[in-house]
Amino acid sequence: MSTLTPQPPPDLVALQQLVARAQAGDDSVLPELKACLAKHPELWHYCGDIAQGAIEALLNLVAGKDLLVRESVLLRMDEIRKTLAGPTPTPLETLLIDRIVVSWLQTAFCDLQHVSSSQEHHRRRLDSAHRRYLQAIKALATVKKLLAKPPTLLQISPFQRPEPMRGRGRGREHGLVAVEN
Amino acid sequence: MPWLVRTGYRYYYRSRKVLGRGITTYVGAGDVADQAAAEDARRRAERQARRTARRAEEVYHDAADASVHALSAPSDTLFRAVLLTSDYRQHSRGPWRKRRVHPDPPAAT
Repeated sequence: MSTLTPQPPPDLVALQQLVARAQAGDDSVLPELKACLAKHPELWHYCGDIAQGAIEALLNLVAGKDLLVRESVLLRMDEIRKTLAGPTPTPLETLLIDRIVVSWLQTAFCDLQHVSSSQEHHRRRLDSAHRRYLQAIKALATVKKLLAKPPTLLQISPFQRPEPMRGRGRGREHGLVAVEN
Repeated sequence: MPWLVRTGYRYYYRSRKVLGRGITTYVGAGDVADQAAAEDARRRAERQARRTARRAEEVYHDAADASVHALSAPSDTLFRAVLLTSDYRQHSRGPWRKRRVHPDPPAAT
């Protein structure tokens, strides 16, 4: 059996250390962190390679030598990617979508195994895969919510006005509603 | 041992556990014993083959699991790095929040 996981680039360790320091409250590493992300695009390629290797390993388990099943699963994965990606996904969104697709495939396979033979280790695998799937979805939702680009003037409709919001707190603004194209 | 030899004759016994206690049952001697022993050996070989196939399958499962798991750490690192450099902070492993930029305090008069 061949090893599908590529070797991690050395800059990944440095990036992990910078992230750990920044999360601990050390804001002085932020410029270095930004520079590291900008100078090392191979980190994104590395994650893409791992995702591709994971998909190959799972496809071998799911489909085996059945080409019809293999192609059907690949089409379904592309459909999921297109649905989640939108028109212009960022590199981070693309990476997280790959993670969702991989987790979805693994969860589906573990679910099939658990249904066919209700053994304890199959149930544990299914729980672990499902948990990873939900984490991946949550990460993408967080990125889409926090890092979404603000709507342009062309996207804002001058003809729609929201109902006046009642109560305190968020949502008291009365303004124009952004409309997606 | 399933076979017991007494006075030159071989007798076949089956042992099993019931409620944690071992129980031995006499099967027979001669042809009956031979048939029972052959059937038990066949079942044992089938169980062993199933166990071997399951272990071989588990090796492939573990490899696929490892490759999926290998994606989590670096993708999580990049996810955190992008959010941190976009002025977000994760409060106590909870939600991510935008950093607050406090205005400079007014000069003392």
